[in-house]
Amino acid sequence: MPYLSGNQLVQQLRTHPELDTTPVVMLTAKADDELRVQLLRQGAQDYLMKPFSVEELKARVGNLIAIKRVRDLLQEELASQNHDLEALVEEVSLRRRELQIALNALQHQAEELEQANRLKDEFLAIVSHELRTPLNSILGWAEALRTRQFNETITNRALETIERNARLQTQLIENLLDISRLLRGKLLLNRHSVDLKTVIEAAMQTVQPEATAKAIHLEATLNDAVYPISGDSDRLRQVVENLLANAIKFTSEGGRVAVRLDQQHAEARIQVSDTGQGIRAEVLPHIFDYFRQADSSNTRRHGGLGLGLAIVRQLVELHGGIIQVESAGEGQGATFTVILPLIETSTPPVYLR
Amino acid sequence: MTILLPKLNFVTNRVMDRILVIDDIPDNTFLLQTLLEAEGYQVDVADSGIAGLAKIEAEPPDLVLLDVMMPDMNGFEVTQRIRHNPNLPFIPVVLVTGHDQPTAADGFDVGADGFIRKPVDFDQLLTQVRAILPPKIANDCTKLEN
Repeated sequence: MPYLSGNQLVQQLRTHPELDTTPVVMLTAKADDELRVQLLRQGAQDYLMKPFSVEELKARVGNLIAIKRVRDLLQEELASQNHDLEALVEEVSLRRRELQIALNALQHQAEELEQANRLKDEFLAIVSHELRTPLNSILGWAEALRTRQFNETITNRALETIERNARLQTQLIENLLDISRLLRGKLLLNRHSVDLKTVIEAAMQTVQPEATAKAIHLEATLNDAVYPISGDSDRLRQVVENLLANAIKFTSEGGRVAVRLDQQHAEARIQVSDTGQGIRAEVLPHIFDYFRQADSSNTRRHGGLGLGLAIVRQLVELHGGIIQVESAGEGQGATFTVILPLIETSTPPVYLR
Repeated sequence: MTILLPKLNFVTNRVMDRILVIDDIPDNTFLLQTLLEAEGYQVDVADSGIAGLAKIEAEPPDLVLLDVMMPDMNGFEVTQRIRHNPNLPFIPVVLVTGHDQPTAADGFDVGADGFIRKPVDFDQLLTQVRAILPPKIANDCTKLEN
């Protein structure tokens, strides 16, 4: 053919993938044996030698078209199978991601469990140490007083030491029992109308000797006009006492501990602030956790079970209140704020609601 | 009696053995100090490992009675520092601990010479202390009897 020979046409056709399935029938002269073979190799499907019979041409074209149809059908089927396979791959990779996420969560849970277990072990070690410390003084002095003679000054100091340590141990045991009751949800409040000012003053009286011993100035700004709240006065005193004792414990000699009581809308607010060692930012979120003290068991500077603040939070929450803590950091002191709902006089009694 | 008197004079002329008690809990130091003073020892106290080391370096005692569980610097570390300080003479160290964890072996590993558990058994404590620092009056009297 002019411009483009049949052979060039076949070559070009086969460079187009979309024409890949289009059958090509060559019409060749008898002398073109070599060219025929070459074109068949290059991708032509069939040939007819000129001169050809129309019937033969029809038959061959018909065959090729039938083959192409089957091929197209197969191609379609393959494409759809491919599509299904891709969807399957997608699904598998999605499931794999989900599995990985689940695995990560599981790993995280395992780590948390391990951490909880370690905290429990640490806590038990602290408990046994803390319970033994006062016992050492009690037993030591009891034996010393029984087997030896001392002058009056030493004898008095010995008896005072025994008494103080016995009280300390009683307090530790009370705290342990409280925590156990709180964890089991067995701590019940003996609710009645409570005047918070009286509660705070009683708590201050209890901790005053500790403050005096460390030359810590204990000051109070208590608003007389705060409405009563519904609560357990013993437990509320425990809350304030704990916060005050804590503030005194972590404040160095000559420092200042202040307690405020005021009212905002339908809430009473008790604030205990100190000029003490403050709380590091990374410890703040865990300050009310059970079994935690900022120091680890081997280097602890302060005694105690690390249960005080956990008990305080639980007691405040049992009263329907919240507790917050703020500290600008180490050496910057700390402020604990307890917010308790006041008795709502307009609320009808429970049985009418 | 007549023979003992000059000996007693001799004893009082000698410097009493000095024990340094290191414990962060004042109730503990007070108890140990009272008991050891009643036994005729001169007792000084320190309320932390760091304060104790300072006292040891300023004036080495004849024996250190050392609490293991203390903040900042525990008793093991204090013992190691004493042992690694070339300026110090050999000072016997008896560790006192209420903790279950450290065993006597741990204490001896760092160079301690004795190990006592809380609550302190006085007889046991005095046996250990006397083994290191024999009571002088008793010794001198024994010599006298011999």
